[in-house]
Amino acid sequence: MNAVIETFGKTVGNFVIRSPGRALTLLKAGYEASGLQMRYLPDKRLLPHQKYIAVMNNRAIRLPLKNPERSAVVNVFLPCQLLHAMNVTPQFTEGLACYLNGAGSEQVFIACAESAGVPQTYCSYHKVLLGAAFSGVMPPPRFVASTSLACDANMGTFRAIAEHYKVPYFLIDVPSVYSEEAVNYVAGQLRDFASMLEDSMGEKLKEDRLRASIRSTNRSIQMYREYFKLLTDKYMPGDLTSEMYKVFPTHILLGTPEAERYFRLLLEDVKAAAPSRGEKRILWAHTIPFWQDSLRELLNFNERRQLLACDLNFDSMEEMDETKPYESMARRLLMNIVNGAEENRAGKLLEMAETLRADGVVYFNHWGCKHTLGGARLIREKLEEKGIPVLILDGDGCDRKNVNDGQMSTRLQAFLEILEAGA
Amino acid sequence: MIHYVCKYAPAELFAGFGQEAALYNPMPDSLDLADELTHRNVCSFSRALIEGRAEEGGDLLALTDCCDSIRRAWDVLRNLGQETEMLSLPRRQDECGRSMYKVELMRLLGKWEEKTGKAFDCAAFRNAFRRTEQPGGPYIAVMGARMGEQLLEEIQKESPIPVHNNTCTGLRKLGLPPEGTAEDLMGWYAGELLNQPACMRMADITSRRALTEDPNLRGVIYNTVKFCDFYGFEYAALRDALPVPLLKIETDYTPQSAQQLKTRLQAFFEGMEAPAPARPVQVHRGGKTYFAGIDSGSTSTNAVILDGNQDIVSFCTVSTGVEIAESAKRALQGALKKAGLDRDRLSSTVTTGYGRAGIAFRERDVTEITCHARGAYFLNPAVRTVIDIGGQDSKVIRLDEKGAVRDFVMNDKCAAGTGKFLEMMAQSLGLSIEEIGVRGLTAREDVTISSMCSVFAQSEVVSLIAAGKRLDDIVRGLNRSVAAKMTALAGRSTLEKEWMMTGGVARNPGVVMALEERLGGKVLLPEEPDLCGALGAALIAQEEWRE
Repeated sequence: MNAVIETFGKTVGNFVIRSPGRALTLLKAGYEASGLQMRYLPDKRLLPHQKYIAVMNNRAIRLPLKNPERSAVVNVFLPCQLLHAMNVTPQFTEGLACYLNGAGSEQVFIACAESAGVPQTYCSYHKVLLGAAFSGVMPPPRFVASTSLACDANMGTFRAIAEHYKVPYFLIDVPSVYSEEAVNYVAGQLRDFASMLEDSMGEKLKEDRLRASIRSTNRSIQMYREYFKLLTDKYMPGDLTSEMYKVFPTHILLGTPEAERYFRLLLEDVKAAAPSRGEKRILWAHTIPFWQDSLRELLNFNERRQLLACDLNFDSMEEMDETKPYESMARRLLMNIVNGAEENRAGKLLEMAETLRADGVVYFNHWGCKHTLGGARLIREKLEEKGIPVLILDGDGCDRKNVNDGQMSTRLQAFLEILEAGA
Repeated sequence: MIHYVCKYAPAELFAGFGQEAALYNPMPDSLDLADELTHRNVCSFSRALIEGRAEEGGDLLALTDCCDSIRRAWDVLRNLGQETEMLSLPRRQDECGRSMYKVELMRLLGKWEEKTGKAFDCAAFRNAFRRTEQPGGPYIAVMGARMGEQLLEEIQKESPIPVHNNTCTGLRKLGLPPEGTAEDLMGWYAGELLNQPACMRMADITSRRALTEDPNLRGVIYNTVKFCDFYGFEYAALRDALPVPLLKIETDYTPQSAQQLKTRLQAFFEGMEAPAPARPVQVHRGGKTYFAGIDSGSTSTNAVILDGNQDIVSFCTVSTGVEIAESAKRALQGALKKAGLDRDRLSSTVTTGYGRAGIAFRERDVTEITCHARGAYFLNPAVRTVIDIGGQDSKVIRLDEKGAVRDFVMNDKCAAGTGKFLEMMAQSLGLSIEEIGVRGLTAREDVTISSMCSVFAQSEVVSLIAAGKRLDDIVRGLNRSVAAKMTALAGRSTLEKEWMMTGGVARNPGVVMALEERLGGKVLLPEEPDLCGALGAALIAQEEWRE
């Protein structure tokens, strides 16, 4: 962590308990400044799509902090096309937690959540979000909404946040098995959610805006598919942060013109990229500890190594039907690779490893994510059966203090060395 | 035998095919096999399930997709070739959820008809339901996450009043089925299952309120399972609001933590039975009588001798070693010698600490929770919070204005925030225990030791040394991490003034300072902080003695 961020994080931390309002003002000013820096003085090594996403996400984090009365706290899987159609900005767990980590201040929020009784074994992204709410630093949203997909923490966190702020909470229950009944069950809940949204905002949902958002979603997905096809034979320099950033346009921003522009730039950049030239190609499973210097050194802008994609960024590649918006959203949720049996996720990883000619998979066991931890051995077995080496890397995607950095970098480096020796 | 693990599983459905289903609740000796097949940091029950089934096998395992860990256990067991059935359990308990679950039940029923070649027998299904009623009167409730049979039996054995199992699987309550076709019955069954007192993964948990609002409820033992996070939220809410005594325990679904849990359970029931009498109590005047308290701890054994006026006559500390009874005897003899007394002048001896039950010559043994509370209150009746940091465990005990234990928390099977932690860190820094106590007082730069885990903290310390940080600064960082661990253990807001620190670590001025910084005020320190438990035991001996 660089010294400026460290000092900034400490200053924020000092304010959180005494004066949460000042901590928020400081954070907003900090994000504003870093947004300007990204826009006007970006890292020269970044490609146009990477420069753009840094600015786009920065804005997506700032908006709900600035205009909380038009924001909702949501989980990463919530279909946000409904929110975009209503002009409501989503604030999601992993996004805010990563940005607070980026500001060097996740510790104080984790401590705040734990001292309010949140278990230490809980997911640290969720702990940071809860800490941001309980401390009063995150301003009250208009409402809270989440799906139950994949993550147990959804049930605890969002209920607690809604109770804390005394705002409405809507849960969309996603069964773990796909069936037509399940599609109808989820679609019905999404319709109810749309009514709740209208009640909450005191406005009518405009069907044409929803359709526009769905059409934009489809264009984005088509360009994204095209990108993956081309990436098969290309080398594109990149970094951990830019890959983690992709969670925004592939999830909560999907269906916005900004996300669509991102996918257009991504496609242009891959078209212009150099051909693949024997670099080791790594596929990543689960979230990325983008802030960990030792891992950045191993993978960022490295000509011998290409980080291809993180599986959360291709968890749902289904297109939508604008005439059946709710059923389409339901299908995308039910068919998500992290829903149901772990074979679904293993199958998609395998398919993408083949498509992208991956040499190995890093399976990141994020602390507190029982879903990922519990499936680690099985997924490794399934991939290794097909000759794809897998490194299971235990760590924490968000809590700097909860990792054994030396051990992690040794393991990742050794894995890369093994792959390189095998070439 | 068909196994199920969740109260929402349709156990009675199998009766319609002449088969019986039973709740599977294993508590294996170790989780070694499960650790190979899954990850150590998933819910301990799901690991116990994998371990138990992988060892013992069994017929069908009927699961619900109740949580992440169980879904992954399902993957593992399926891959081991076990026969499993996974039901998609709705979180919504409304009409939509009911219809969805009915579809699942009908699917299972159809599958079972095909598998057995039998038609579903509605009468046999209906006969599987029994009317169950809890006996009335005062009771203790076990709440929270599921609990192993052995532990539940232990609680029932220790509790002075009946114990109700209100854990997630203990609360299986269904009505009696109506007449009707298989489809009618499944519609009814889906509703009945979903409308049981809700578990924490359900959408609507308002029905849980009734569990804590029952006027017959006298106390709650709140159980959480390691790496199951659902119930931590409810516990946090109850911690501040429950009007009856509350004890939190955490289990890893093996019998390994039984001893530590036993201490907690006994202390909890002791606190409920007998509120501490206010000082002064009955004092035995006349012929001089003496009372001994012995605290047999993990590192040292302390003995205190009191006279009938509750004046301390003498005390003695020896190291515990491996012979608990022998070191207790040595400590007592040392104290008697200092006082110039013979053994037969002692009217009563009460023991406490880990080794309390292993000392044969005791009148009675009492947990260190009760003893520390009694000792601290005796030394200063203004004390409301006792922070006791010993060699291998640490506790925060809250007292009421009469000195009775309101509640307490203890560290789990982890050295963080204990004397052992500081000892390990002193070793890494090449300092003695005395040195580590004072080095932090002269710190200049803020150094944060963030890892709560002793093993990680040790490597953090090593890298701080490598980074050229001053020893004094590192030591202060360590002291602060102990203080943070202690305050986080109980929740800082619940630590009411006056605070008293007891246990060996109270002799470490650096930790005391860090704790004072964190609490924002002075901490009371007894002259002999490690004697507090033994003193409490001696006081109990004196107070309870009848000629």
